[in-house]
Amino acid sequence: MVSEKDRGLKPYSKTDYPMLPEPKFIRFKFRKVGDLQFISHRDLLSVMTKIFVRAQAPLWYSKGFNPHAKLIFALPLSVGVQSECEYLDVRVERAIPPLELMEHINAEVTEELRFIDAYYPETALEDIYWAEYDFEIGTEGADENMASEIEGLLTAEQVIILKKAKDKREKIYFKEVDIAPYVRDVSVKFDGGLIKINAKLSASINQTHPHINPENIVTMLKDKLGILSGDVMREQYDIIRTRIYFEDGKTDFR
Amino acid sequence: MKIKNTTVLKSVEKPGRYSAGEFGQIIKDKKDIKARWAFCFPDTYEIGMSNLGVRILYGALNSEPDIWCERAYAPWTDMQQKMREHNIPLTAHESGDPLSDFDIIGITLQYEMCYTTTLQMLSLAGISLYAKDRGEDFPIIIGGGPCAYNPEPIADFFDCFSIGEGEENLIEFTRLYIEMKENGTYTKKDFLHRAAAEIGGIYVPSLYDIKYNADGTIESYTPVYEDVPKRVLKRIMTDMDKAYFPKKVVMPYIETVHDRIMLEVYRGCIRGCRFCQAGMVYRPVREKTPEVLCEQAKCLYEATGYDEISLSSLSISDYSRLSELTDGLLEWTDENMVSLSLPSLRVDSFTKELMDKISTVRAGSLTFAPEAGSQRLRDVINKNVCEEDLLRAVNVGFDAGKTSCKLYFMMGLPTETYEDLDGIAELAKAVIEAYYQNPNRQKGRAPSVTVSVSCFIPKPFTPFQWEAQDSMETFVEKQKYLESKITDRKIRYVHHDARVSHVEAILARGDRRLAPALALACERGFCFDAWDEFFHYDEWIKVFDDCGIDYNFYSNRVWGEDEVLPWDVIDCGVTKEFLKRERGNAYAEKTTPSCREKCSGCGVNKLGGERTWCPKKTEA
Repeated sequence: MVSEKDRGLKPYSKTDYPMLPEPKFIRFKFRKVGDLQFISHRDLLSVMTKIFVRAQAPLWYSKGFNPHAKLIFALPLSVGVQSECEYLDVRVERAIPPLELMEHINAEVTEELRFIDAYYPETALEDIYWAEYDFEIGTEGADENMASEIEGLLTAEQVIILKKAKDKREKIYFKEVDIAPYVRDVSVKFDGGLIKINAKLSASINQTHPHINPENIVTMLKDKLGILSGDVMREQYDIIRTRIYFEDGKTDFR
Repeated sequence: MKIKNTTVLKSVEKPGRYSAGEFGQIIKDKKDIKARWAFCFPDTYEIGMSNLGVRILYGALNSEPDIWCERAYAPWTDMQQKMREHNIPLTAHESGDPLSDFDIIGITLQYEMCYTTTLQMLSLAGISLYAKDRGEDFPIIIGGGPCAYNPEPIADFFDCFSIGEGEENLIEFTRLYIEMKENGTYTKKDFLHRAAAEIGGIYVPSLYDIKYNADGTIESYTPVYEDVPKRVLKRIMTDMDKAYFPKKVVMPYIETVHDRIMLEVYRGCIRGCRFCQAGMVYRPVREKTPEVLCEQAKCLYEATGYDEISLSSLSISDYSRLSELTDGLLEWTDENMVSLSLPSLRVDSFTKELMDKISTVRAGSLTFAPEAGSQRLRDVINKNVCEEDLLRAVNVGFDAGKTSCKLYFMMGLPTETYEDLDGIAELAKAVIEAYYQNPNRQKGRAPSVTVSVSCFIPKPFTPFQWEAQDSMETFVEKQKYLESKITDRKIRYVHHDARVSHVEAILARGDRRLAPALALACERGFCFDAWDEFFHYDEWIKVFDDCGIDYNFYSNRVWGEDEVLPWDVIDCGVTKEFLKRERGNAYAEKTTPSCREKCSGCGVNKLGGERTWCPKKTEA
């Protein structure tokens, strides 16, 4: 449901909440699905900034000549990838309960960008290690056999993808990378005419370990199996990030 | 346009243009709806979303519970190619329904160079270009916006036009449509006839017979029914404080041209620059009060979260209560880190006080538009500023540490001589000199002045509407001459492409005989002619030639003052007598005072209006 609350004077003011002695982080979990998958990370940043202003979020602003609020996103999505589990840290300067602030924010977003959780974080975004994705591929020739073939490819000893890289002269080239150690818990099935892949891919916010872009998996399957090469009006694929985990790949990140 | 196919979206540039789903978009339940509107902007999403007029009319139409107005923009060329390849029709942004399913398609015509894009949009929607070829099943197509003041070149493609300000008139138009649909009297023909006869500001081109003289000029326009007005008088909102104001705004998810609050301060302009169409057709001046504006600005801030408010009007410094307005805004904008910006400033109103308040003036470069190089020519065009004003204004900037300045001029103005062009170079030099003589200048830095010169285009409803545009050869010669006169490397000289201005001049004063050329241009794939990379002059000339059109008849001819003009069928409120008088004053090098100083009797006061500078209308 799209929030359509009557605009005009807001029913609350951020000054209702006392100032904190020190600015404090709040972590938000939000979704970015449907139409929103086509919004780039850069555009999302400016969209979020305006949402926080509309919601009268008591953000802490950096001092100085050009004061600004810092929004820290965990794992920026590629255009065309959806997510049910985006994380965002912001600093607030007033003692507004996180869930209350989330309610104000949800009055300023559409369902496709709804905020799901808000809390004072006890972990660092750097602790993120794995991301789980659902792939739904509608391609000509999809069947049980294709599903097991794909499962075979993704669970093989070596899983080679072509990764974009830049040489010393900033020239783009593709290099072969074995991502087998960075893919786990793969399951593939054929269901309702679609190939459905569920897998966990290594995810990292600061390159301490590899970050695998799920689009690379689709590209690999296109190259190896020739899927998704037919009628664009009938073939399509969706990728959605569903959960984020700590290093053990089992405990949900929070 | 909304595209649902994600494979197509993943294959084009900036898919956010087509994915829609914005916060603030209006979705209605189709079962409550009696008329569906698709409001089209014939340019990209990023440009269309920044247009204030569309924002207002979208809100106004949607404030009616049984009308649902959606938006549509021109897809970029890569998407157009995909659409043609896969037979995807042009759709509306909110519902994703094909445009051909709508009751009414409104198209805003902001500049002549969007005509080809307009036709391309119809073609992508699978709608026949010519109105006469569209049966009862096709939507009604209505045009509006500044180019509707001379809609003749595109008249054959439209069912009707809304002349003037559309807030009320489009709703009345839709009400009549709903009424006739409901009581079973609707046929397209009867509806258009009644709309023309009963609703002010609706022009239906098919209801006029046109006769031409042997020399190609127009002999007459005659309405085919007695109850259809001989001339269609434009509509205005009389009281701007009470005019519809959109409290909700559709918030784009991608960067657009103007990501800021646009606060419309007043309509019209008190000046009467003789080349300026906006200054004539948007008359009379109607101001909003600072109280209302401050409230509206706060409301928009809360609804959008933008950090910049742009005070938008034709010449913002002519707003009579500017100081009160900026003071009122600054009461809350600074603490909320919201900045104020102005789109344009006149040199005679550029003060230190204003500069301190307005951040874009504080941060950006100085930009002024003297328009002509010599005092004589500035008097001819009635740009009531002098060299001292300009030098005073740049010195205010230099005092504050600015080192660069941009000056806008026009070339090819009526009566222009090479001495006037010398004046442009001299004025730029005088600015450089003023910099070095300013004791407060930023020491150790060289100044830079950009001289930007556009080409004069005679526009309908201006005192210069009868003038000839310079020929291409003359423009090129003059551009070269001016280039040779500017020798100082601190002065950068840029000029507009005269070829674009030439085509624009043809279309601006065109009549219905241009329709075949536009249809052919569409067939040949012309689109986005306002974008340099898609404008091909030689192709345009070829189109005119292939249609046997003597295009210089429209652009390079001095029109007779007693000629019937294609746009005589429209009444913008300003009388032809006034325009003739002003043309006479131009040749006499006589200036005309602004509306605030003295009424010069343009005739627009017959439309009424609150907080104007006009004398009250008298019964004639």
